This record gives sequence, C-alpha cells and structure tokens, in this order.
Amino acid sequence: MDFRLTEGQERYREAVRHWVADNIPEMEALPYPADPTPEQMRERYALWQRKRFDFRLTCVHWPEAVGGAGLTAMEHFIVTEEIDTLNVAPNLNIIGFGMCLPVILHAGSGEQRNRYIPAALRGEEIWCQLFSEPGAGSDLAGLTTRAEPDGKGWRVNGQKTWTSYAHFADRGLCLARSESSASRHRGLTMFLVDMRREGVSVRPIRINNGDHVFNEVFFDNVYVEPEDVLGEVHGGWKVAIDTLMFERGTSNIHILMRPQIDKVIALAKERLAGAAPTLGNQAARGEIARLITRLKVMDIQGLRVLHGATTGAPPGPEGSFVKLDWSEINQRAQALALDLLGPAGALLGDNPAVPEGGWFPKNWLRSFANTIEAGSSEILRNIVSERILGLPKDAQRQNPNRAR
Amino acid sequence: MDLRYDENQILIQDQAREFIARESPLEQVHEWRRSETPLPGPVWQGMAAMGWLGAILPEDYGGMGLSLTDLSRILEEMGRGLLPGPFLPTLTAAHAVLLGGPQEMRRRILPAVVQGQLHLALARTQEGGRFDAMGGRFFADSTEGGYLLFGEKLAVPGLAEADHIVVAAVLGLPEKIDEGVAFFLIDPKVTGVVIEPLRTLDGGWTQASLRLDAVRVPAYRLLGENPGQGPSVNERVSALLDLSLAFDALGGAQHAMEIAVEYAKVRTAFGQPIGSYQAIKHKCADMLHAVESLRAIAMWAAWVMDASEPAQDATPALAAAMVRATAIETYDLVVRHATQVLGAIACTEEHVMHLFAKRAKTLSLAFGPLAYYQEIILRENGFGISAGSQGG
Ligand SMILES: Cc1cc2nc3c(=O)[nH]c(=O)nc-3n(C[C@H](O)[C@H](O)[C@H](O)COP(=O)(O)OP(=O)(O)OC[C@H]3O[C@@H](n4cnc5c(N)ncnc54)[C@H](O)[C@@H]3O)c2cc1C
Repeated sequence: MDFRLTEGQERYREAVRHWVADNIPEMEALPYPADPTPEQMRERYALWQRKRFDFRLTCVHWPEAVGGAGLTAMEHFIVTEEIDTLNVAPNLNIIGFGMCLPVILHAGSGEQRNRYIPAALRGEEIWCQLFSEPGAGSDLAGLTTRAEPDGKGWRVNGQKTWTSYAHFADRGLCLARSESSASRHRGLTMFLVDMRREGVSVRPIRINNGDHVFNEVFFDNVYVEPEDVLGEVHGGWKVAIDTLMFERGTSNIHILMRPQIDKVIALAKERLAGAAPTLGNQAARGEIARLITRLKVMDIQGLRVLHGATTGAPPGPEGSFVKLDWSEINQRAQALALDLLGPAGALLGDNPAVPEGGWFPKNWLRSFANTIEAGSSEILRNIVSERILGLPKDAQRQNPNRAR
Repeated sequence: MDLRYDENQILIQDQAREFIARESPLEQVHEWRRSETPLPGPVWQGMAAMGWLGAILPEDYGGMGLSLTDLSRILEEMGRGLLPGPFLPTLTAAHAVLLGGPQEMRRRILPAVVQGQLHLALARTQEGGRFDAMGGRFFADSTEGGYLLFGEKLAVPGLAEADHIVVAAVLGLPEKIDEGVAFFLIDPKVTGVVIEPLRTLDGGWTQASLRLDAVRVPAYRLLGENPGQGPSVNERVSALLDLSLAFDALGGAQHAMEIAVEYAKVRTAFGQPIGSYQAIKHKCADMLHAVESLRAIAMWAAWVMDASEPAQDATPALAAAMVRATAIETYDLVVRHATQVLGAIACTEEHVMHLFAKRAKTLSLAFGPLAYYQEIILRENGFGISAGSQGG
C-alpha cells in the first residue's frame, strides 16, 4: 500500500509548477474582461491551449504520435491538478478532451486519429457530444436522429439537445440511427460531424442561472463523409458505451470541480474559523467537516480509478462512485455557501454588498444539473446495483431491446 | 503509488477469515450472545497462536512487528465476523504499555499478552461531552513515591475480565487540567479499585464501571517518561483505537450489506425478485457506495499512520478523525438500509441483522459521537476554536 507518487512523478509535478509560474504572468498581462464575448473566450482558449501543446502539457497520457507526451494517466492527473484547475482560460474543449477524443483514440482508424487529435490539441478545433435528444436522455437508445446513405456518404437529419459547447464546436461526436428496422441498440452508428457544414444549426438554451452552457442542434440533411464513421457502421452503441466509460474513467471531472468546492471551504473558513460551536453554527460546522471528509474519500476513489487505469485492471465501480461523489458533494457545498452567506446569498450584481458579484447563488443554481448531467444519479445507482452487485434488471427494462 | 494489498496481507486476511469461520462462525456468535456467554478461552488461545495478540508488537516481545495496514486485514475480518472478546481493549492497552511503559513493565506485560495469558482494558475516554482523555474524570495526585488516583467511569470495554487496566488520568488537581494526561497501569485487585460488571446492548465486549477511590499507584506504573508526556502516547493510542474501530465497522458493514444483497436476489414479491425494484436496488447501491467510501479512506488512514514520514496532506490525528466519522455514518446507514431490504425477518431476534445494528451503535457510542470527530476534522483544517471563544 503506497499512496505516494513516484519520485519521477513528483519531479514531473515540480516541473509543471515551474512551467506554470513561468507562463502565467504573460497570460495574466493580456487584457481579458470579466464578462468576455464568445470570440474573446475562444481566442484566449486557443492561445493557452496552443501554448500547452507546444510544451506537450495537454493530454500527456496520449501517444506522442498524435501530440500527447506518451506518459501515463498519472501524469495526466498531475497536469489536470496543476494547470486545469487554475482556469487560466475557459475550458471550452472539456467535452472533446474528456470524451470525444479519447474515444477516437480508442476506436478510430489511424487516419481519424491523425486528422482530429493533433488539431484539437493545438487548440484549433473544439468538440461537442451529440448524444441526447428531446426524446432520448437516459434512455439514449430511444434516439431518432437518422443517418441515411446517399450513394457516397451519409445524410443526417434530426435534432439533438443539451449539447454543451455546441456554440463553440467545430466538430461533434454524433450518434444516429442508421437502420430503422433493426433492434434499438443495433441500428446505431457513430459519426464525426463537421459542425460548420451546411444544414447544421445551433440554438442556445439558457441554463437555470442564465448562462449559455448548452444548445439545441438541428441537422437538416447534413452530409457526412464515409470516412467519418467512427467504429463500425451500425456498431455505434458500443462506441457510445465506451465514450461514457471514458467520461467516468480518466476525464478527471472531479478534479475540475475542485476550485468551486474549495471556494466554499474558503468562505466557510472565513465565517466559521475561530468561532466556538453554537446552536447557530453547529449544523454548518458538521456539514463542512462532512464535506472535507467526503472530498478526501472522493480523491482516494479517483486515485483508485487512476490506479486501475495505469495497471490495466478492468474498471471497477469507483468511476461511478466518483461521479456520484462530485455531483452530490458540489450540490451540498453550493447550498452550504448560501446558508453561510445568509440574505446576501440571494443577491446578484456588481455591488460591494454582494459577495463576488453573485457568483455563489449563480453557481448554486448551476449545481442543480450536476446529478443529471454525465449520467443521472438514478442511472448510476442502477449501474452499480446491476453490474457490480449483480441485482436483476428492473422489471420494466428486462428486454434489452427496449432501453439502455 | 500502489493501492493494492500485497500478497502477505492477502494471506493474513484469508487466514483470519478461515480462523473466524471455523472458531467463531456467525451462528455461534449469535448463540453466545443469546446466552451471554463470553468468548471461550480456547478461541482466545487460538488467536494468540495466530500471532494476533502481538500483531503490531515488536519481535523483542514475541510480537510479529506488523504494520497497521497488515493488522487492518485481521481487524476487518473480526468486524465481519462480529468476533466477541476483548481484542481491541487488549490491543490498545498493550500499545500504551509499549509506547510509554518502562522497560521492566514492557518485559513483564507484553510477552504474556502475546501468549494470550493476559487480558487488558483501556479506560481512556470519558462521558460528559469531552471524549478525549483531557476530559478526564480520573485524577492523579502526586504523593510520595507515586500517585493517588481518583475518579469513575461508567463503561470500560473488556474491564470485567481484565488482568491489568490502563487508565488515562489528568495529572494534578482538577484546576491544573492542562498539565496533561498520563496513563497508568493498574492492578484491578488493589485496594480502592471498584469494578462492577454491566449488561450490554451488544454483548461483543463486556463492559464494567470503574471507580478508583484513592488508589495508590507507585511511580513506576506511570506510562510515559515524565509526567506531562502523556499526550503523545495518548494521541497515538487514540489513533490506533479509531483506526481499529473503523476497520471493525468496515468488515461489519460489508457483511451486513452482503446479507441484504443476497436476499434481494432471491426474495420475490409481486412476481419479481425484490432486487429488481429500484427502491430496493438503490438502497443496495447506496450501501456499496458507503462501504467502498469507508474502505477507501480506511486504507488511506492506515497508510498515513504507518508512514515513517508524515503525509503531506494529513496528520495521523486528522486521518483518524476522518476515518472514524466515516465509519460511524457508514455502519449506521448500512444496518438501516439492510434491515429495510430484509423486511420483517431482520427485525427478529432470530435473524443476525440486529447483531450488526447493535455493534454499529456500540462502536459509535463508546468513544465519542460524530460531532466530536467532526470538531477534530475542523480543527486540523484550520477551523479551530480560538482561545477567546472557548467554552461557548
Ligand atoms: C448541464 C448539462 C449538460 C449536458 N451536456 C450534454 C452534452 O454535451 N451532450 C449530450 O449528449 N447530452 C448532454 N446533457 C444531457 C444529459 O446527458 C441528459 O440530461 C441525461 O442523460 C438525462 O436525460 P434527460 O435529461 O432526458 O432526463 P430523463 O432521462 O428524462 O430522466 C428524468 C429523470 O428520470 C430518471 N430516470 C430515467 N430513466 C430512469 C431509470 N431507468 N431508472 C430510474 N430513473 C430513471 C432520471 O434519473 C431523471 O431523474 C447535458 C445535461 C446537462 C444537465
């Protein structure tokens, strides 16, 4: 049993820290408004991502041939902790690096890898994930977007929704029905879609706090080349499942959530440290102790996932636990923040009386989606109980052709 | 980084599971509890023969010199099997002797413990809101050539059968409380020691009340080189106790969960196994989530305490408090959910589930409530209570 990184990994962390210290001032010197336009966001993202690529400090666990550094998931984790949590630039390709590109690396042809991965790593292309539809969320196999052969390639028609970052995306990983007669899971194909193509339209959806996070995406007879099928034709379900495995595997979302949770802990420290337990703050004290403890548990579960990934062990239940943990922990943390702020927790706007311009209530609202996005808590509990504990499938879902 | 148990640790665990299944199967434990029969002597002797009583004692005293991580493999199995008897009291009291006792005392006590000849008890935590040794209701007054000990404690695990008692007492008169706490080794047979056995909810440990009525204790029975040096021994013994209780909880919670999950696969209602209903399967998922969370933090806490150099992100005190807080919540959640999954059968005396429920509650009542550990977690994370606001 040893929780330490190797000496080599510690040295690597040091080197990354030095690189950060050397390169951050230059980024900070660049003008960047508090309320940037999408163009300004994109520009800053591209600049920072290019810089990281030039030093091979992005997706370092990917092969050198596609622009990675040929290191392990552990170094990737270190880089995520040391660089990504700083939020130097908006993380516009989080979906690409966490899901779309790993699955291209995993299931794609050599040509697909070479065509898409380096461009993304250089900061030139942003990806989105086009899975969910108005009629197909948890029950993804119920999707109805169609793909039909048109002699040469494919024509895609239909509607996707909740597509994060589609308003920035150059490309999308799109699951569509390629054979309507076949069973629900079999007639699906995964496509790599050019979001700039004619027939693609993206309409913003405002998330509950007013931010523009996700979109509706409409496909009107959009042409897709035959070489942009990922995996096998009609074999898209397997690719989709692999994508979700990456999401709960090495995407390190729980690390990316840390800054906002740490912000709540800092707030709590400001309000509670030094104060004796009283009836008024006892509940909050208990809650913050629980939060700190659960964060430690989550970190260790994250390490267990990583450890599995680096030793080649089959993925265990830890990935689902990490997802349940970060979503539930963050929701409780953001709710705690408002309790700590009292009436000021329900104020917005640029006023000295409003803590951080209303960041806390806005983020509290955003956290509502945490237990829905990236696999709802109910679906995760189904997975844990059925695949790990071996409990029978739900009575209603026993026919594998009817649901996910 | 390597987050697996090594071959030897797996072997230790396998042997522990076999031993317990053979010498103290759950049905037998159930029967012992029903008839209020203590752990039979031969089983204790068997534990000694396995080397468990000296697991973490140095080889000099006949021990095995194992790490806490090694020991945790045994503790988890004991928790799984609800093994009765004063193992934890003996383990922790012997550790106090090892850490603080003079050489002569160590030579006299420890090898006999290893061989299964002595049972020890640790009278450390107190009732009344403070659960550290500083909240003491035992006081030690210096007198010529030694100390006079006073005080009482309601429930001391393993005391009824103890051959020696390690008592934590505040040195000096009550107003000098901050001079610290020290451990003394006391012979239960000397004048002024009053022990009254009590019936218990759990039956896993015997419990007895302890009163010390001006018990004269010679100076050489003080553990710790100097008066006032107690806290370091205290801290280390506390951490060992917290970690041990957490692994006991882990094994027990894992077992209670398994019983419920197996039942959920075979019990049918409305023509379906109850495990196909989400209200049931989600309870099962939550049990596994809780158990695996406890496992994760317990593995880590044992490693923090084993490490020769301090861990970067945690003191042993913090690791101990976090693992205890998690253990209290986990075991409680699991016995509740497991009972719900099992239905009425789990609410009978005949079913074993109440044994797990009682153990869970005993573990969380015996050494301080959740809030106590939460305050340690806060203190170790810079949320401490400042001197000015003390006593609020
Ligand atoms: C912030 C955010 C970003 C997102 N980004 C993307 C994206 O980039 N790309 C993309 O493709 N999708 C995205 N999604 C969509 C997300 O994947 C879906 O919301 C999710 O799969 C759930 O689907 P749904 O919202 O349709 O809810 P439904 O599937 O309709 O579920 C509604 C409720 O029913 C429960 N439920 C459903 N089935 C079961 C069952 N079998 N057992 C028990 N309970 C059940 C769910 O848990 C939930 O509580 C995003 C969602 C959010 C909130």
